[in-house]
Amino acid sequence: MAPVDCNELSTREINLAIKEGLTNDGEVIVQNTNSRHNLGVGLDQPGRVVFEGSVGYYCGGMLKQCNIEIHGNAGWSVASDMQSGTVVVHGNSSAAAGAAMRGGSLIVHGNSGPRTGISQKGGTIVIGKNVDYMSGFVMQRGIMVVCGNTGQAFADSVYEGNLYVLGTANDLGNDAIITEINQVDQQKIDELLSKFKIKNIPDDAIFKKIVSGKKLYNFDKKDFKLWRVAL
Amino acid sequence: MCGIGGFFYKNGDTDVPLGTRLFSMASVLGSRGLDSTGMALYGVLPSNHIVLRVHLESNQFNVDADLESIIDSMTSRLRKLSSIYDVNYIGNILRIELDGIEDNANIEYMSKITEAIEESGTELFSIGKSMEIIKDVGPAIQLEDYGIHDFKGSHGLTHTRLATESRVDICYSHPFWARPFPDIAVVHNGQLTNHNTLRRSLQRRGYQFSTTNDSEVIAVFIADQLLAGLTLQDSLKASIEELDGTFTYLISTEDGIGFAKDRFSTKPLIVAENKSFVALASEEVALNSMISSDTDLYEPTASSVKTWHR
Repeated sequence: MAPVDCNELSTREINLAIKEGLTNDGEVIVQNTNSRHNLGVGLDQPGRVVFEGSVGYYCGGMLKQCNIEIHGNAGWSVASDMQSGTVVVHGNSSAAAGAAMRGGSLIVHGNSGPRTGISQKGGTIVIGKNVDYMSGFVMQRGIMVVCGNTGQAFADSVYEGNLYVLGTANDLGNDAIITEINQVDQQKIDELLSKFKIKNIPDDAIFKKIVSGKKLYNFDKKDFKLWRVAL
Repeated sequence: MCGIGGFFYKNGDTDVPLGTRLFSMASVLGSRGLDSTGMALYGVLPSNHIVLRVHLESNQFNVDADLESIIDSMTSRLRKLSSIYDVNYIGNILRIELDGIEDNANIEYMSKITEAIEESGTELFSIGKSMEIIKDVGPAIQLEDYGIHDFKGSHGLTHTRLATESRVDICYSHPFWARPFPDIAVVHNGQLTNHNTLRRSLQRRGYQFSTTNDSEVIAVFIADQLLAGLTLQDSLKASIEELDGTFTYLISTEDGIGFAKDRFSTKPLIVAENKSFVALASEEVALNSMISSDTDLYEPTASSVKTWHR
């Protein structure tokens, strides 16, 4: 199938053309994306979609099965509510990347903005460089790997799930604690870094593991001071 | 929502089509709001000139019929302060250029000019040694009537508005001028929650406001900090502490431009910078036409400010 050229098409027409391409050929190239919003939203079939350029907000939202590659940057909420499949951003992503995702993998080779992986409920997020303010907020399940530094209040109020950081994690959010990393964790990280070809990671890199301190699970009068700070 | 954009030539080159550049940004950012569109443009005026942009309420004035009497009443008061170099108008907007302004004209003098204009029941959109504010309700295309494509200059701001905080009206459109400080303008994406308190506190100190809009308060707040001797950078930092609510805003002065982002990084901003210019916009799409391989593209973090000067 010929590439989908966004220039002459409405958002709805682009998304219909992507679905048609996936049905017919299993692979779609999308050109002249020009940072447009809502591209590749609600896809639910196997195949590969390649965006040859930056995309705007909500790309790959509610994704199932499909593999998306973005050869540029992604705006707000890339891969939000993703259920399965893969989204690979070769540039940077903006705020709320992978918000509320339940499954699948979101890979960002560059930096990711504030609130990356907010309310993550499953799946895997791998960020090649840094994450910004309040990333990993209220994570409930899944894995987040950050190969660069973390911003303010990282992993604030995390319930469950594991977060791994190679760079600095000096400003953790409420009830997020650094714990010892074990061999299973390290093996999982190595697999992800190699599978998704994350560059510039030293062979002997030791990640920090961040999990919930579980002090905010249930209210206890004794912890009143802690709650006052948290809220 | 609201879309904001800014452009700044680092070398101060003024012979570039600033109006068209900002127009292309505003056209794309129209997807973030079409209630109104505006620009603050920094061009070139002879030294000792200032330019005023004056709005005549259409239900009070019929410009075609009343122009002479309006200008007469305004100019008789203005002539006591300066000489008038040129007056023209498009629609209900007057452009008045004054000359013979002294180099050391202070803020009291600018206040007198403001009062002289507004005594006629008209409203002053801007005073600038180089800046002019052009704004109107509706999408960017409305601004073509004001000849923006002919406007050359060194830097400027643009805004597309989705009204959330106050009414849809030309006077409530951005950019807002820091009344009565020449050449200071702001465009803002967000909502402030303590703007009434801040406005009252500035009013007690003698400042006057044209609207009840939250963003106008930012402009005057920053100008007041600058007057107190702070740098633009420090004024922006102070605003992050003092302003409550959500904001990413851009501010421009006669020779500089800057941004400030709130503590929660609620509102977007993308910066594109290379050796010759810096461009800022709510969305990358508004910058795409200016990005090349030598351009750094990044998203500033929460609580951050940055300024550029010549």
